[in-house]
Amino acid sequence: MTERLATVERVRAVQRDWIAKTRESVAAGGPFAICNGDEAEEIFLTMGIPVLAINYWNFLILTKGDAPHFSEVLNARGYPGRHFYGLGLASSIAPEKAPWGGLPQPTIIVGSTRSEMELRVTELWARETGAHFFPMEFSFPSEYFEPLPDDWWNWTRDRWPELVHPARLDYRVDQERELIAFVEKATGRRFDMDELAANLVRVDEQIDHWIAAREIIAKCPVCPVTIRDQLSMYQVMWHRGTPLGVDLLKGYRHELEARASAGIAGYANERIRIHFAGETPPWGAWAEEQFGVVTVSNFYSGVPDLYPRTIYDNDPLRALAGRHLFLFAMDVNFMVQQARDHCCDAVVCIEPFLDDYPPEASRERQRVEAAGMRYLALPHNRDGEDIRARLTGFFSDFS
Amino acid sequence: MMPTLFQTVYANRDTVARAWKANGGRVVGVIGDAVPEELVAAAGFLPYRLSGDPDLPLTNVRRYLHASFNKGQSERPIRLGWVEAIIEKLLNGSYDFIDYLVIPYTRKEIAQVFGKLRDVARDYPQFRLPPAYLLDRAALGGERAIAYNRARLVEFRGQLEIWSGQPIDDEAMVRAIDSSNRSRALIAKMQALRGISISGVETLAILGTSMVMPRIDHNAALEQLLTGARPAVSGTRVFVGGSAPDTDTLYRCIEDAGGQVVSENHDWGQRIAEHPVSTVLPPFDAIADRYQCYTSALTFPVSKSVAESTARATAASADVAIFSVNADDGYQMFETPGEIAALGLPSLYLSEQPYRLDAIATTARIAAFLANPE
Repeated sequence: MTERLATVERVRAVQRDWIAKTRESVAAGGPFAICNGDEAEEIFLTMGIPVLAINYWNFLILTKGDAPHFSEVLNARGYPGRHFYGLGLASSIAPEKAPWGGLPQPTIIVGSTRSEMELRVTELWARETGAHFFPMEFSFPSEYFEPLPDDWWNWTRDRWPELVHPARLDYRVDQERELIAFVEKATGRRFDMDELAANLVRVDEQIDHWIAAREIIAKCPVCPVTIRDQLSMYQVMWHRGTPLGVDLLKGYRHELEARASAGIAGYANERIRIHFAGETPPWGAWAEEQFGVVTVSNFYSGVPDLYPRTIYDNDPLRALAGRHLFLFAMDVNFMVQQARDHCCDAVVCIEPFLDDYPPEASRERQRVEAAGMRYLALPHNRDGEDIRARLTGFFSDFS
Repeated sequence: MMPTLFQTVYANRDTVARAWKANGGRVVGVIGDAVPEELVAAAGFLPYRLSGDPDLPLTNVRRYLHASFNKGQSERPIRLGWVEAIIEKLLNGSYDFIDYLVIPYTRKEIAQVFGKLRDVARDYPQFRLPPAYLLDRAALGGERAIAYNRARLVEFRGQLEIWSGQPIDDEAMVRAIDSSNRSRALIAKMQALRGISISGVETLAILGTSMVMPRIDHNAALEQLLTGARPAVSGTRVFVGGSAPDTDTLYRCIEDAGGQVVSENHDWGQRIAEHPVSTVLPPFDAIADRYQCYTSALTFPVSKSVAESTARATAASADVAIFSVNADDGYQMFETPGEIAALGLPSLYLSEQPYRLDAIATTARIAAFLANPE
């Protein structure tokens, strides 16, 4: 494997710097917000309020291997079991082992009914920290009424109003206005609609860099970046629509262009390109060494493409609310499209009960094979002898 | 003692609905306790609440739902066992008597059934699934939510009219309201006899069958039960909280262990009979009003659910509390510690329970608790 991208190192430095600066500003009396990803970040960014996406923070804890510790923290509070969503709450209850020395004191936590458990956790988190709590109805995982068009990802930028229920959209716009008023009152900051519009325009620019980078990955004879670095770059999505966010993705694109020109490969031993329908396959290094299998794209590869929203009727808040109501679907068609876009030879999915039914029953298999790629289903997302045996069986006779 | 009509129907919940169907009636299946039954009944349908079955092998769910794209992060796209079981029953033909299905947006996993069935119907046309309707709902309260939910009910009424082929008039709604309010009044009377002459297991059967039978028949049977002499029941008075049980296994375990459930906070329990529909407001407004104020599966804030638990346990003079929370029910899991703390009663917390309870082990734990509740 080649060395990590310089841009990734820059992103990591930016993130460390961000938390340090946020802590300083909170210590000086400044506000700090916490919310679910894709729920309200732009509202806070527009108001100059640092905001943390809960899923990002939880993944940081997970990546550090501290999920068991923070699950125990929750267990001690009477919340048994293994946790993921509650890890952030746990890191506020017992901040000693939290990433980056722990979070600053939040001013506000925004919860939502995207799942009932998440609503509960965010409410308890706000209570734990003494933060204001602001719950929101409906979000992008909310069940939608009408079937999506088969190529829904081609609609998200310009035809987004057709992907959301108009009554829910009105409702959501009202809630966002309420949230703005609430935050203005709680923090004394002013919200500027023009600045939100500028933010959304910058999102378009930012994502265009991401798309260009993806096209480099897809078209380059050897993949110029590892999936690990691609995922690291996803952190930039937490600086969505900021000048810094635009600059980081621009740098990413340029670095990939340079790598592609120089013939620098992300992986040392690329022979088979796969799309992995998860994040990073835990058996990835082994499969590369054994069979030259490299992960070129994953679930998140095409997600940033879905953020831009055309502003209609000079109403950026409505466009933002539209995105908050529909970002992406967990959809086989999108997965197949991603694999195609990245010129993959095969797709690897997790099918937990795959031994309980004949392979042809899998709609993923049907669609992937119909698209001319090979398909492998694995029963779980862990490495192990059982998984390696399946990988060996699949990739050994790969032609 | 002979099983009552309620226990017989509770054990085979589709019998009455099948007879209704055989007599030319049509059945609207509903998931959860939030769908306003009065509108469904006023349209001429039998409202029928679907329930799971912990003993059911999830053959079709695993083959046709779990063979599905899930980002590699979740091993089960649907996590709640009872929701999985309902989908299995829809796929395996157990609900072949249901003409239409209403899925309310009360919990994410309930609403997801709508999309999952749509995907299955698209990809596997061999399944004959009933047409489904997603009844959207704003859950957090306030004036805007009230207006939103009312607008959705207006749409729902329109859908029912399309299904039935005729308008729902005020008279039909008034008749349906009278019937459901009569049921609520009878259940309130029954509530006072719990732990005295009506057991927790019988209560579950009475409440459960009220959602799968025509109200008029259920009311007649309940009236008869309440006027007859009944032997006393005994046992430590128990309040039950936690995940909603769609079978009576937990209640049987409690009774076998020497307890008697006198009150509960879940959506197969006493709360389904709370909040009568107003008879002062115009009928549709009254139905919408109850729909709004009724505590459904999702309550906010936590303190509201905690207060309701405490109020029910106190009103029933419960001596102890037992909370059984399923491992797949993260929402309830983050609520239960607050409920236990607020109750101030000796409490047993059965955490991380499987959907299919181990009756022997559960009875043993409860018996040990009841022997020494402090």
